[in-house]
Amino acid sequence: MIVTDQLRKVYYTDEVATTALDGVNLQVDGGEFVAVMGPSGCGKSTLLNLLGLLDTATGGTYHLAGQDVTHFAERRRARMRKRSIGFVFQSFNLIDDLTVFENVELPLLYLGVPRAERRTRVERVLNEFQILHRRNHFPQQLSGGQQQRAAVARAVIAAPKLILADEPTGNLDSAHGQEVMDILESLNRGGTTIIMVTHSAACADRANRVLHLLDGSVVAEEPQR
Amino acid sequence: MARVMIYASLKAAWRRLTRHKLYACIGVGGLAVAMATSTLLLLFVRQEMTVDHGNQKLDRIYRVESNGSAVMPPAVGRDLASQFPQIESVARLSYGENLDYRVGEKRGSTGGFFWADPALFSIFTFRFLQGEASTALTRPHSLVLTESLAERIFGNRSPMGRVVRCDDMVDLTVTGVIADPRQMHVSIQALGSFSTLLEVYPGLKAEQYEDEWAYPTYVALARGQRPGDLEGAIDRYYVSHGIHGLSTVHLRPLAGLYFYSGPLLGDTYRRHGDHDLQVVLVAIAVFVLFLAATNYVNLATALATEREKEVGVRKALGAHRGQLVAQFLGESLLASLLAMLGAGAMVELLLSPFNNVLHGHLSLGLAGLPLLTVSALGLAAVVGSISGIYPALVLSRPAPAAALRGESSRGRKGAILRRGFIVVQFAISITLLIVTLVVLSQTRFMRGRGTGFTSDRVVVLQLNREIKRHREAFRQELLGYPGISKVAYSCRVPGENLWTWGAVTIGGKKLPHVFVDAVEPDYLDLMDLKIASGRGFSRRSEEGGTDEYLINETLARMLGLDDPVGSAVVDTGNGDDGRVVGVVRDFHVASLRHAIPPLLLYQHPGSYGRVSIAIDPGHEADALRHIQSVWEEMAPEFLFRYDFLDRIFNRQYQEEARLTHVLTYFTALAMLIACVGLFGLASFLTLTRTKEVAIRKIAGATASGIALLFVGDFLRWVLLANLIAWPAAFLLGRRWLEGYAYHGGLSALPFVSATLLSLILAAATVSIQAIRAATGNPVESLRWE
Repeated sequence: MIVTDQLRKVYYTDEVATTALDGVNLQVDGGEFVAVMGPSGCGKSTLLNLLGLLDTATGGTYHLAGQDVTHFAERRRARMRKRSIGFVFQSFNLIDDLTVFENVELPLLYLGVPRAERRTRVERVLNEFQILHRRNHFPQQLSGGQQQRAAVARAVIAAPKLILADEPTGNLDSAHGQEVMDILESLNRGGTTIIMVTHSAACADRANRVLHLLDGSVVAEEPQR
Repeated sequence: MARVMIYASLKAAWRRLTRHKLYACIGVGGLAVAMATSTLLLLFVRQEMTVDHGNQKLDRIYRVESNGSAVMPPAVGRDLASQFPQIESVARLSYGENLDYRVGEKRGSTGGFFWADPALFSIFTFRFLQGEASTALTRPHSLVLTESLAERIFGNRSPMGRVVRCDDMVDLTVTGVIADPRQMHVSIQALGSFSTLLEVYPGLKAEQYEDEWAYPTYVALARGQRPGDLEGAIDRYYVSHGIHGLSTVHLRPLAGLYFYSGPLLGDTYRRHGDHDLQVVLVAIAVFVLFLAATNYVNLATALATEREKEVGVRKALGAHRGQLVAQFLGESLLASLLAMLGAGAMVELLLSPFNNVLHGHLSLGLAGLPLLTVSALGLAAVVGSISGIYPALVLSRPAPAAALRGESSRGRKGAILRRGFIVVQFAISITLLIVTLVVLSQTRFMRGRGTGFTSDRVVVLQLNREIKRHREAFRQELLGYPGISKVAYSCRVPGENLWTWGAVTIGGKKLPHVFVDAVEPDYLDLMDLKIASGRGFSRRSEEGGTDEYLINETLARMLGLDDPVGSAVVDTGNGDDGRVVGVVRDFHVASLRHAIPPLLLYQHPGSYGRVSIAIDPGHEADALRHIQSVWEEMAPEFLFRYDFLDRIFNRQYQEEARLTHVLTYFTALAMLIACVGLFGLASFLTLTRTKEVAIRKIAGATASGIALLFVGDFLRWVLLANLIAWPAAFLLGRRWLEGYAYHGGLSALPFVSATLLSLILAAATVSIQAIRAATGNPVESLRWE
């Protein structure tokens, strides 16, 4: 599903160049659950951004689902993202001016799904995640756990092949964190490929494979469990 | 899908507006005020620019002028109608006057009364509500009233066939009622048939060309005729008939007449549009919109930091930049539309005070509503698009990853642009402020500058037939009262339209036009006019004219003689040849906008139309009561009306007063919008700097030091705005003052005052937010961060 070859990312600020990723070679098969770990600043989030086509690589190549997406223009990237990738962020990143229903519905709007079908699918997913009763509430009115469940619901509503999660339990207490991990595991069992950045060893234990990053490079890889 | 996205975007936009009420008020409210103001201003300008455009024959109507005069002898109209088949119609008007009318017991004054040829209705388009245009003024003693005057005199009853006694001298019969002609260059309230004029004033020499240059004359050319060809034909006609005073006839198109401001003699019977004022008003309309739009842009881009993550999320979910631009542009259009709705309500409320300030007559009738609605929607769309495009591009620009990290808002470009907008806003407002102060200063200068004559406590009455007949008795009755010191008769007083003589010869020099005034010897004493050389009139003439003439210094200079005293005066308009007996020191007969004209004074009791009465200090009220009682005793048929000489003279400054009002109000508005924008921006920027403030306080900064830091930051930009405004205001002010023959010059005071005021306002605006930021608990700020 995912193949990167010498993937590099350098950030330039005035005259300072910071190498965030320094030649990462990665291969993730469909259906895998991969955890990415490492100290702060090691390039975990940068790797996730490149894999999610949220940012462009400075060097190397990136193949996603058999396509070389390294030099895709932003419009093609956007199309790829909405069809194939779901995102779960640490700080939920729900849009404050939209209700829970509207937040979860958003990917379907960008896909041009008809209204009736959108309604059905959103209600089903909200029900699955046990937040249907909060559909008309705004994010500020939800608990952290509920917000993250809404964010995960948004990430899966379009049935993406790949979910990228950046510290999905970072802002949650242990109980809610467990809930979210249960959801991700369940999605993975259903065939969704998941790549998750985490500081938590407990969360990493849920994954098939753990990559360790340091200073922009993969320095260790724990075998599949 | 587009429709769905639009609906979703608008819903979110509405929620955002209601969540950020302060910024919504500033952005949308500011736009609403600006749109209302611009709508009113542009409606007014449109009204002014379309004066006379309601005439169906507009492109064929011309006013006849000759030798620098806007008014013709009555014989010219007769000649043009009979001798030139190229002309379809000719109509003469008299000078407008106030006619005292009486119908039964009801008395009043018409205002705007003109004697007119019947062909006036063939040339100009009037809407007849009663009567027929083809016959309304054909017979002598006919009277046509405007709808409002007819209602004032007759109420709901029909005025047709009713007899109106005018000036206790002539009976006129109402033969027509016309809709109020608001969009005309002449302010008409009533029209009397021109043929009556010759009957009422038997001395009027209808056949002569040398004098009585007093009748605006209009022609409608036959189709296909060129005015240049006709001008040549008229010139040749008068030359061949030996009438050289009419050898340079000019036909001025009606289309441009309202705004014509050339130095034509006798051109004061009509309304004068101020083209410069229209330019100023359009500029103000554009500026005010610009200020409000930049406020909106500033706030929208400042708030971009709050929306960064949203942009990142939407892009992560699959939105491309075009969709986001459309979303943000939609928000801007919604804000603009809401602003326009608010503006619509404001326009209705502000219509009356607006008409007062600009002496306009705007109204929002049903007839104009469709066009106004379409225009309003168009304006909302334009303003929304222009003010929304930049924020839309800025907000949608960040790459998804950068937006999610919150990095894009840390760029300096946005901050520089926002400050740039503040500078531009204040530069415009300060320029307006300086120009307003210059106009105020000039108006004060003109009112305060010596006019060369005494105008304090001088009452002026317009004479009627009875008072004229018993002139001396009236004078004695007045002088018998202890509080009245002087009484003098004249044809006109300074500030009123003076007559001109077409071609008078003085000292052998033929002069095309001079201003003339018939005055008594007492007039010079009452007005405190000084003799520069020679002497005043030797005696008072009781009946006819005398052979003594006085000229002013300007006329003396024109003659170019070493000593003009003793020069022969011939070819006079009153038929009395004579000699110059003295030179009077120059005094102003018109506004200080104009140079003092050449002036000839002579005695001619038959021409006296005014009596000036000097009242001693402290006796004003009692003296007026005495004057009124004497008037009512000697001329009970005539309404007692009086005015003060200084008010008559200063009435000429109505245009300057109007301009001052306009500039004052709209400068204040511009400043308000700029300050409100500054307030909004300051409140937002202090929020984003709470962490910095907390750190500074922890490091030892005092609250006052931090407040000064904030205030000083903004004041730098306001100071820069002043540096930009000063040269612009200097050029505008100097250009405006060049239109005045007498002005006080451009001093530093308006510039310094405007700078100080702008700095004080800006400091006051920003200090509220600065103090709040400076006195906050640093721990709270850091925790919030």
